[in-house]
Amino acid sequence: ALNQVKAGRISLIVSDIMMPEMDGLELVSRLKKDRDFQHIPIILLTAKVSQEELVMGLTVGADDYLPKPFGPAELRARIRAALRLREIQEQLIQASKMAAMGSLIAGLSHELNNPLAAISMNAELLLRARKIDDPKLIKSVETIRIQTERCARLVRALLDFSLQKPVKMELIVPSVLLERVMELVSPLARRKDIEIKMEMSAQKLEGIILRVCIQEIETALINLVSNALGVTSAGGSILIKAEAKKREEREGLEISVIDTGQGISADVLPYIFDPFFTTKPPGEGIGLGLSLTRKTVESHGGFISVESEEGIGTSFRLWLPAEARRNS
Amino acid sequence: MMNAPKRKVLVIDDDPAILETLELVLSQQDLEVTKADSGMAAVEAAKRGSFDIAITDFKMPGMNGLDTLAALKKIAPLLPVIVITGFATENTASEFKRLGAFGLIRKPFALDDLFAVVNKALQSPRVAT
Repeated sequence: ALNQVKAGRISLIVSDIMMPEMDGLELVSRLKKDRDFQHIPIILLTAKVSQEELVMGLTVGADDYLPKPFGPAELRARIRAALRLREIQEQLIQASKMAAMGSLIAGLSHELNNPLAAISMNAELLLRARKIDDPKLIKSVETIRIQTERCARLVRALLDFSLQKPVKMELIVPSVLLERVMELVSPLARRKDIEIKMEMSAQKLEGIILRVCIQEIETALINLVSNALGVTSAGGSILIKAEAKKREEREGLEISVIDTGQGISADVLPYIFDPFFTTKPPGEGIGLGLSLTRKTVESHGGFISVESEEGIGTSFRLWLPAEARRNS
Repeated sequence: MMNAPKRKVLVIDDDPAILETLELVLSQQDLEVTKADSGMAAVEAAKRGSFDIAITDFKMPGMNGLDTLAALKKIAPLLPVIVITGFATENTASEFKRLGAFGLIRKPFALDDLFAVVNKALQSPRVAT
């Protein structure tokens, strides 16, 4: 068992205690001491009335136990419970990692601001002095100034990312929200000669009202649409679809942004919502767009998902809970 | 104009790189610059002499920009104080305004942005004391 765990990705172990050579307790204590494997939940199968075995098992690090005899339904339920717990643990670890990264970013951006301000002011001073007459040198100082500005923009984006801004929640109907987004993305679409098709039936959206921070949700949608515009070639089109959709018994609105671009390859797809993950060339994006989009959607109690097929296109689906749905 | 006395500016920042650069930049604008490397030093300077304008950093150890702003306003209520900050949430921005800051500049900034606020502050009507 130990060798198999070390060989591959195993998400849960169900082990008997009584085994020849290495017993279940030994296996548990070895795995739980190993940093690489201690996160794998282990359910021990204990003999009927062995209180001692049970205590020993939990002491050496088993996550749960199941006394014999047991039925398949009980085993399945225990496995599901252990996996659920593991998933919550992972989310907590991820959340604390993100929080640590947030404060690191905030601190770092503050520290970078002063040297950047000093560099940009001094470069500007040199340019204004007009005592340099070699055009090459002027260009060189100009480059210092422009590149400092580039760093400054990055630092600002990082600070905005790490700051918890107070949000103002307002009521808005889907059609108004989408019209506002359309208005903001249309100029870019026209410039790139891409048609944006909108599919929403007023009837189907009847009664759906959202309570959101309009600016944040608008930014999230613009992020999705401008990403779609970025991967669509001239003459092409993208589709924005809005429909009422229930999720876990809650009324809500689903907005899909569907492009016919080159798609996202399967090895990249799991990472696209990670902060600082980008496929854009240096200088064109720092990989915060989708990460911020997800942050916004989730802070509104919503969900975002992506489906993509290489050569066919990508569709992002964003779901937001509705404030109320009046039956008309 | 040649003989007009130089306008006096008090610059407050704990980072010598910023302090010295601001001195360089503002003295080239024909301003007389007094440097203070802390809010305390600024208060001392304001007690000793009068200034036409003050520019302070926000994030400083000890007295921060808000404290410095409040202390300077106590000594010289009509002194226009410009605050330079690396970040500004809406809360801090409104707090600065409440305490009477003349303007807020976000770091890093273009010199023209700085000069625009500085000139506006120098031209602002001030009741004679």
